[in-house]
Amino acid sequence: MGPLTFTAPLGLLGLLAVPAVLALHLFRRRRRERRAAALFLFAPEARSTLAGRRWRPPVVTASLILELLAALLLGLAQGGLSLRGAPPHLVLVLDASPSMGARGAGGQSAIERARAEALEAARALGRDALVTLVVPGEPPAVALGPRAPAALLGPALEAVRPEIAGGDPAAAGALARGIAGDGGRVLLLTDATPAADAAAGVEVRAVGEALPNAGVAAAFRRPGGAGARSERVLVEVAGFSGGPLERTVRLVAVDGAEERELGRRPARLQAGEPVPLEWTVPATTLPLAVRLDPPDALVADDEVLLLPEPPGEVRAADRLPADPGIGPAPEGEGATLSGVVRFGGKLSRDLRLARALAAVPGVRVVGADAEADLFFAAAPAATLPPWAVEVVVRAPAGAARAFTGPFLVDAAHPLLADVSLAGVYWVAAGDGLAGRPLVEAGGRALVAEEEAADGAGPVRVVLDLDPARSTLASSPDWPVLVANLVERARARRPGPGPANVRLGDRIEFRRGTAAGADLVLVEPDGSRREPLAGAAASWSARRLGAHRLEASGKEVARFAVHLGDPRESDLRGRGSGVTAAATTAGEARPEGARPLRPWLALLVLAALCGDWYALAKRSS
Amino acid sequence: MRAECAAAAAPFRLAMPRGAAAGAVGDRPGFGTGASLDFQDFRDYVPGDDLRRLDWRAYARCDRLQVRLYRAEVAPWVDVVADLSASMTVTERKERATRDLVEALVAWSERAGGRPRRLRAGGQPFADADAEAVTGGDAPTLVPRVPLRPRGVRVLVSDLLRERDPAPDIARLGAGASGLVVIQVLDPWELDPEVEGPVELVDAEGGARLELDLDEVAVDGYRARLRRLIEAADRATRAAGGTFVSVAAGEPRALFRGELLRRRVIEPWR
Repeated sequence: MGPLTFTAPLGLLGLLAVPAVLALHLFRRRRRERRAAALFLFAPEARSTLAGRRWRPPVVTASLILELLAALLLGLAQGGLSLRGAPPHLVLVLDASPSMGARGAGGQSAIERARAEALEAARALGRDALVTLVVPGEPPAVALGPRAPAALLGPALEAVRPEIAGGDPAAAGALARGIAGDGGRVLLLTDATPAADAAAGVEVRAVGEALPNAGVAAAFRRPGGAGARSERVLVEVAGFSGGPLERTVRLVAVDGAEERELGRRPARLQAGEPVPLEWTVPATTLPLAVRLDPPDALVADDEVLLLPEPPGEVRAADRLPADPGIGPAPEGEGATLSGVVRFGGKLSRDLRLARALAAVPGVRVVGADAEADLFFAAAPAATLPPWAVEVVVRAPAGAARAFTGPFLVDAAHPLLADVSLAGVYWVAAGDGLAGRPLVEAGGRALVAEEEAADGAGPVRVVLDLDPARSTLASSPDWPVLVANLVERARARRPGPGPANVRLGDRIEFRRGTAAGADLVLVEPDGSRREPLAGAAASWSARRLGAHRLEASGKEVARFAVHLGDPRESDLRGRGSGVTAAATTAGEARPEGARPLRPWLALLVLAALCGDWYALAKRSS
Repeated sequence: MRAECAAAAAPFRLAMPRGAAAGAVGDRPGFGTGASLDFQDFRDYVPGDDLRRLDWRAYARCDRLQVRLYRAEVAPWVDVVADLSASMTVTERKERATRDLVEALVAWSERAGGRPRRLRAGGQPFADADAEAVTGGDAPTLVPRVPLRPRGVRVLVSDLLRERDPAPDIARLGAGASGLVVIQVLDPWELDPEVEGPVELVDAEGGARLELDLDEVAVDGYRARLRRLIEAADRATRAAGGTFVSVAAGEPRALFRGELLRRRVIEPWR
């Protein structure tokens, strides 16, 4: 739309009708009707009374709005509002989902055909055409423009790679329709056969090809068990074809340029039915690759790279005193046996802490002064790592009170998952807890959680408990509660998240005190990306293959991204065809200067008709 | 789902409760035993058990051979219970927000690895909230007429503006669930009516009429009763181990990024 011209004094005079309409409505009032869902919430005091009239603002009704609109449009029509012409505008939506990388018998991929179609469509509009390139995603993104010169389209199309997962072409089409406005043309290039009910104003051109394809639908790499020297590789392979597909699934260890085959299995894939495969292999730090032979139409789902998952071990430290109220445990209280620090204090024994922690996998008990993720203490520590979880068992201070079966204030809290406390005899000796109460009895909090409002800093869980006289430690709830505490500590521990993620999922790295702020993710093609804002640094995985995470120039973690999306692997429904835009706005054309007076007059007439209808309806 | 709603819902997924859930095979902690890394329980060894799962520490302590059981990984059932009575359509904005919310919850559940199902409050399963018709009267109960899937996650979307106490229905919805979320959708006018003078209120469900002077006294009284109703629903939900959220109907972007995100009903996905 060109610049707006508004220089006629008659138009200003016409606009005086607006306050006139407002004044008329101000002095004329009717009881307004309103649909409501809760009449019972209005009490008798609200019933209508015969009180005298008071000044009130005008009631906003459809009639008022339509009359104001008619007056405003009349003023604009008097002013001679017009639009200046604009060059043709083409908005292209390029589907960049992984399936667009599929190659048929001709050797050309769908995205290559789509690029050629896009360039041809831009060329047909002439040299002064403007183009906008929209790429579906979550959310859809504008890759070029809006309204960029058509000469820039070629490089922008080449930069779009078929590696965007989860994008909805319909949502991108809606965005493109909004950018195009009234005069622009929207062309969606995809590989899915166009539906008959395509979005209004969007021309769909499908450049896909229905092809048989097999792919890795899911792949995991997991340790073989606690302390095991083996690990398991779990793979799910799926075929998408009219008949069965024969494939060989190979597992290889990748050591730089060298590869060593660890196993191979034949797989007969029926249409749409995933085939699970499992290997148990010696534990290794090398990347493992799962490959399908022979490669087929979509190469992206024929190989999955699996890196070793980072250790999920939680370090637990016992800082409970030998005797409550006397002080911390003396040096040497926690003797070492077989490399494991024993819990030696009386409170620890009363709490059966060692036994409860031994039942939770992935926990290493460390010395009281060592750096840890989970602390058990009788008093809050002055300084703790910001990611730590501290469990404070308060020593007896006030008059003891006993309760049976305290109740959970918030049963959905993660720390209370699967905890019931039914039948537990609880002796509390404190005089009330601060923080958010989790467990209560007799009007006092027995367990409370303290955490900074912004989530920064350690989490403190305080128990008002005399373990020697309570049955909590011998109840089944205690190891469950300890396991929940361990899981909380594990989730807050600094370091990398899962090493193997699917395309579109999140790559995460939780910052600790040691990690610098300048984290950079290096993608397989060498692109360097800053993290998204948040407590944990995170990136959306948008490239397939091995990624490197650097902090201050040094590598701190590695991640591997694979496709793992059967919807993309299934190429049976792909095809070609054209659906014309459903409205006249589908054709881009140069626009000359157009007076808007006839249109405004029509709108005035429509507003007056609407006003008449609204008034007639209210009268009836 | 509308494109605008889909775009606003895209960055989120349902925050699944940590409680053990039941469902099809997936990647969430489940109720039974399976092959995940999450320890669940011990049981006595029987011949044929995997020797790698024997707990040698327990054997050293008490001379009993026991195997460690690990939690199953499932795609939890998610039952989205939608109140599609006429009271949800008092304004187009409220109706639109209700339908958007139901469809978004289904999409969020799928994104979180769940298996969602749409159910009418007091009625049967349905396929698409955008196409489902609204019933005239108020259903006698909010609980669907089909059995809810055991140990699944249940989400109720309703305005809870009923003369009957909603607590028994909420308790029934929470019974046997691994997680419960109650989302109260209210039109901004219902949440905070303005002093607007003489009005005639028409009951959306029964058609009853009430002539009022909506002055300060009437509005203050209404707000106090609504607050008590919300507090009662919140208490009932918490007692059932669930999370209660009250939201104002509005555009999807504002609707999803408000209380739902703050109360961790949903969480950022990408």
